[in-house]
Amino acid sequence: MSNTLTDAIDVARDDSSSADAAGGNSAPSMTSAVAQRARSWTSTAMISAVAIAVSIPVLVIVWSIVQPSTEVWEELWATRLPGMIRDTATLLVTVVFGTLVLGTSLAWLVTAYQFPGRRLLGWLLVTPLAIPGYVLGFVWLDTLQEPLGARAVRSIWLCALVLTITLYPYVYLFARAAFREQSQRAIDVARSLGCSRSQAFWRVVLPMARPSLAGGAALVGMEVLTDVGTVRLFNVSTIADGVLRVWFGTGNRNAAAELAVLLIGIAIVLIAMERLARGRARFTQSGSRAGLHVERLHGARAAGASTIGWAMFTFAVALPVSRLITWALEARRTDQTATVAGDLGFHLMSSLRVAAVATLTCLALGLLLVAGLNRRRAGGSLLARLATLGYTVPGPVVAIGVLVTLAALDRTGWLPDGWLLVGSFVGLIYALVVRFLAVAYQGIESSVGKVSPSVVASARTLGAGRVRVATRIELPLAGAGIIAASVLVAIDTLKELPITLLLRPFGTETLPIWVWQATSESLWVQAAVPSLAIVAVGMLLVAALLWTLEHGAETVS
Amino acid sequence: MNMGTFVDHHTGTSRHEYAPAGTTDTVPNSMDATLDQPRAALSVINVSRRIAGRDVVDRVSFDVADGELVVIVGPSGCGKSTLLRAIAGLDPIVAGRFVLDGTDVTARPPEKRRIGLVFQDHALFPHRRVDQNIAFGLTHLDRAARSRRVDELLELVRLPGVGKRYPHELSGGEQQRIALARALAPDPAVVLLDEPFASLDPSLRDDVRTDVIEALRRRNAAAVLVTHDREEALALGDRVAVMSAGRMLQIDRADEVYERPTDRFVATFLGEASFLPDPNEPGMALMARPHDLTLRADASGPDQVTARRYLGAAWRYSVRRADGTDVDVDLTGGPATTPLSVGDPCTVVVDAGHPLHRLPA
Repeated sequence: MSNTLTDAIDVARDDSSSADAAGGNSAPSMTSAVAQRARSWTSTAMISAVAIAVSIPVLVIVWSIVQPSTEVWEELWATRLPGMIRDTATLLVTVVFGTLVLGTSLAWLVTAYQFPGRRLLGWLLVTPLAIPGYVLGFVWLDTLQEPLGARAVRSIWLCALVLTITLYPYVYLFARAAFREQSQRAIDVARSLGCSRSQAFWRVVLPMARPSLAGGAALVGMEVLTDVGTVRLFNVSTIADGVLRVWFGTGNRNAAAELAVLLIGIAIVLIAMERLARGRARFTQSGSRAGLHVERLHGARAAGASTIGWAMFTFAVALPVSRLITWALEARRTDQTATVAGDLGFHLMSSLRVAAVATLTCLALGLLLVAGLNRRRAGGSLLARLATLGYTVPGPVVAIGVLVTLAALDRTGWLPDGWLLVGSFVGLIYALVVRFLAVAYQGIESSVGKVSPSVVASARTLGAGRVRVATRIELPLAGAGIIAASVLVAIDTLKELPITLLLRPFGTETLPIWVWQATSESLWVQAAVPSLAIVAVGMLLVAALLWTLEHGAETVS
Repeated sequence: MNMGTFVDHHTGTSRHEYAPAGTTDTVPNSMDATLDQPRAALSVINVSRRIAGRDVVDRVSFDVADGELVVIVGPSGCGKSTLLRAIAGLDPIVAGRFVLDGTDVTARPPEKRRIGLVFQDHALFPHRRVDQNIAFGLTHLDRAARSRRVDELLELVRLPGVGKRYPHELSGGEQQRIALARALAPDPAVVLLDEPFASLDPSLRDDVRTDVIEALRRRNAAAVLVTHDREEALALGDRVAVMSAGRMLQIDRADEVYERPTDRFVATFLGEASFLPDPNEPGMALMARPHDLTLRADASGPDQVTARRYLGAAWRYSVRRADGTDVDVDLTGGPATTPLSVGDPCTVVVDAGHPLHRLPA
């Protein structure tokens, strides 16, 4: 990825110094050089501070492995750890494979074929993103409890299926973007070289989409590693679940942290696999973007394509939502109405406040990092990696890292008496930023990188300073991408469970927490109302995301 | 009109005493020019392709002989690339047939046609190494034979030793040569090249062009190349076909289409041309290229310079003649001659050294 914004700033520096030199005006150029150096120092210092602050909780966790608490490990290894590893691996492999198959084939269906409802379905198939796994999970649990029996329903395979359905949109979005960027020419050449249509898909289209698919799959993998709500519903004991159980069960911070290191290890392996698979090859084509030819389906095949799309939507969204509505109406009819109505406003406001503050903070810090980081300079890429470390680290790990860090800070007593960071709103936001800053940063960086350097250069020769270039040229052009990144952060924080669960201050009860508490008592009817609220807000955000993505595509092309 | 103002520079005789040689067709139909050649590698027979009710390719017929390079040239949107895609079997046609090496392939999908394709953006598979790109169409060969063929083709396009690189690690010209090697690898009956040199840097273009054409020659491959660049068409093609609005207007040797175009579009598309009414035959015109005419400064001349442009090798004058027609004239006088200025009176003189070509007005 190129760094247009930073390049522009570099150019700005060079320009102003050479202009000064040409004018023979040495005194002002000296002061301006000093001023600029000072400015560059402050920005470097600020960025370093952000990067370090955001990475410390993760590094703290990693550090904990240096002094392992041997007896805890021995006990874990003898009892639950092998099972945890097995369940985590099973879930990871099944869900990643499932989302790849489902997401890729649905993306190919709506990209390569024309059939009734294609455009609408193209959007609707993203909406499962708005339904958290722990919501879809309890809907299914209750629905299947009757036919399958209370025991059989709590199976790892059903859990994997639920996670697959809620997480496939990540792969779907990545795959669709990749397919859209491909050129028909590659397929044409492949066909002239002896490939049938389907062979061309397997030998050319799919391999060229590989990095995008791997990116989507890596996201899914992270979500599976992080999940605590869904696995708990189905009695699947993963490592993330184990971290929470050790934390709440024994209160042993070190043991929980050490278990968390295992999660980081798996996450690193996942990312390394994705990078390795890429190798030296590139996947973008040069030259004209002719776009894929869309094949119009007729008759039975068109009907079949529509049916597949609508069935998927019904299964993943329409049925669960209608079930939730039924329950919510039932809650209205029974005496729970008053409490529900009162609680809903309170929880909703809590959720919105947390999501809004966390999103805006991520956005501001992301913009700061993108504007100030020059990854080509020594240290720049290290800072970028540090700042985005959190996303490779599952939520419960971040939560514990933040807790340990904040507790240490509190012990130093630098805050006024009676003030503690642990259990404060600031602490919660801090943890969410650690976890989700990477989402904002990468989204902003890639969309700013797409602004053509020649556009920036034109603006500069027309006399625009670096601030004006940023506000008038880069922000409007990259705006859609920046909004999309923010919406993604908002969706993530809205659904977020483990961090909020561990770090929420007294009095902050978000919607996911309510769902978590109700479902752990099997009170589906009560869980329905907050679930519906999450889904409703989530749908609005997904709609905003899709709108900006479409809109952004127009302005870029 | 008064033809008396046309005076032949060499003989002093009036222009209209020259009868046109009478060898040219007056009807745009010379498509059977190859019928006496050996069996065609590719025959396109009366092919039409319709998009949204419009014939973007309209009853086109031509043959390509073994080892022959036919260049199709025309303005953008004339249907030349569409025709190429139809030959490859990538787009459906509404009428006509394709015969490849004596076999009718009209109903076959692209992968069963034995056609090689090279695009402007070369469309190399970015995720495959160069050798894997070239070997893509060689699935029927075993490993050893495949790698022998890859080496042979890399040799052919004069890029031995780049097999283990990725496409993005090569220059644009090298990528285009690899795209040709990939297209030639399965030994296609005909190679189709769609604007293969258009995306290359002009400084590079000539070299790549030479290499590509030479590689095609050495394989004795039949090829159809599409371009909008008339100089490229004239320089490369064994035969040149001019297309406009879906129709193939003329196909013949480069010098034939340039010197004896069958209609005004072909004449002006391939180069500057002025048309003078034929004094002998109403409805016909005489074509004069700028170098067929010359100019004499003449204070009492009936013609007048309206514009001039320096081309390096010559001055090009636009002249309004007494009868109101405009002609272009090239004057290669060397540094000693004083150029005429806009507004100067002059006399336009035919200086062709051959009879002017006659075509329908």
